Amino acid sequence: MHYFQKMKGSAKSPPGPGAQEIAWSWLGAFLGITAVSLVHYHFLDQRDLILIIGSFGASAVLIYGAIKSPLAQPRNLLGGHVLSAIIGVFCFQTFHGETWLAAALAVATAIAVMHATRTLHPPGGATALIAVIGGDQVHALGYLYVLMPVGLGAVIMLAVALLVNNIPQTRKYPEFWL
Amino acid sequence: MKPTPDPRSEGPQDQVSEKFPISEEDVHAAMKKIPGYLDITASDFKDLYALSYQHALDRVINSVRAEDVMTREVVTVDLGTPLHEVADRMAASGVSGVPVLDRNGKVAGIISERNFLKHMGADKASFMAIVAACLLGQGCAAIGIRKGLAADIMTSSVISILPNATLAEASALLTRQGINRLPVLDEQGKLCGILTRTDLVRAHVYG
Repeated sequence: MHYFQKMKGSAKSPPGPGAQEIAWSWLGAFLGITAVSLVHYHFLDQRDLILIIGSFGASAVLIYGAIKSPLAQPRNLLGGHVLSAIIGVFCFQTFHGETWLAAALAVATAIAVMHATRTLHPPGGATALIAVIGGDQVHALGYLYVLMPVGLGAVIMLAVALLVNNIPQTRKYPEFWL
Repeated sequence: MKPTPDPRSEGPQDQVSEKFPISEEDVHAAMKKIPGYLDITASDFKDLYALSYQHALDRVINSVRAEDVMTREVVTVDLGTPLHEVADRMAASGVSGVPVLDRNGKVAGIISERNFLKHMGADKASFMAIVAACLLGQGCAAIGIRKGLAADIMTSSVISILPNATLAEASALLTRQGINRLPVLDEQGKLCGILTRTDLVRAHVYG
């Protein structure tokens, strides 16, 4: 196909979900983010610990709003976040003199590693990036960042997804575990 | 049939997966051939495939018309055609049924192998019943209708369809009436073709 012709796009956009699906996505996301942010703001904030990071907003889109996607499965959610967090912390600690390089390496490597391990989860890219550009509070955590907020937060979000996504007859989660 | 079917596997895709089974392994193998990341599970694709296949099937049987697949060169006989000639013509052209035309060329009836069998003394109009009678030494079973004409044994209440009937309608009519062929008549009642089960099978829509 001609180079510029490819930019026009040729496929038909898929149909949208029904009102029920939208309502359940809303409820799942509301409860999932509630769970992590309640703990964060009521118990941890005063102790310089965190449980909520920006990439969880993106995870919520997948695990409550696009639950059939391979990107939204537990393997991807947990594996993607944890691996990306490790890579992000490593890149910051190794290349923090050049923040731009640490940031670029963190995200690019996170994608590659997630692909190679079949754990691709788009919010993982943000998790890796936050480890680099997330400020002093995140940097002070070191590798604890991998366990908390990232690992624990993802587990809590997953628990809510399992509980909420399986209530309606038309939905089931997950598609697979491993 | 599973006793407690998964709600997602009910519905039209089941019909199709029986006719044209595609397994998750098939999809998995196909996905491997596509370079790049596919954001769908093999099982979802399988369901999607079955539903699209059913949709395509429905589209075909609701859009293709009788006239598109019918046989146009129809072997016919007249009311007064002697039965030996009717049989001869059917045998020579390899058909198992012929419309019977009246003097004005209108379809007055239809003769199939079944009509012959019925008039040859077979209770249930079966070929094997005739063979059995012959083997028991009861003579030629056709002797009784030797002097007969087409009009004597034809079925005169003819079930026919219009050229623009869809294959879905034709298929349903064949099944409901338990018959094998439908004369296709235009608005004026003129014979323009015949639609058999074989024609439908050839059009890949008869289940």
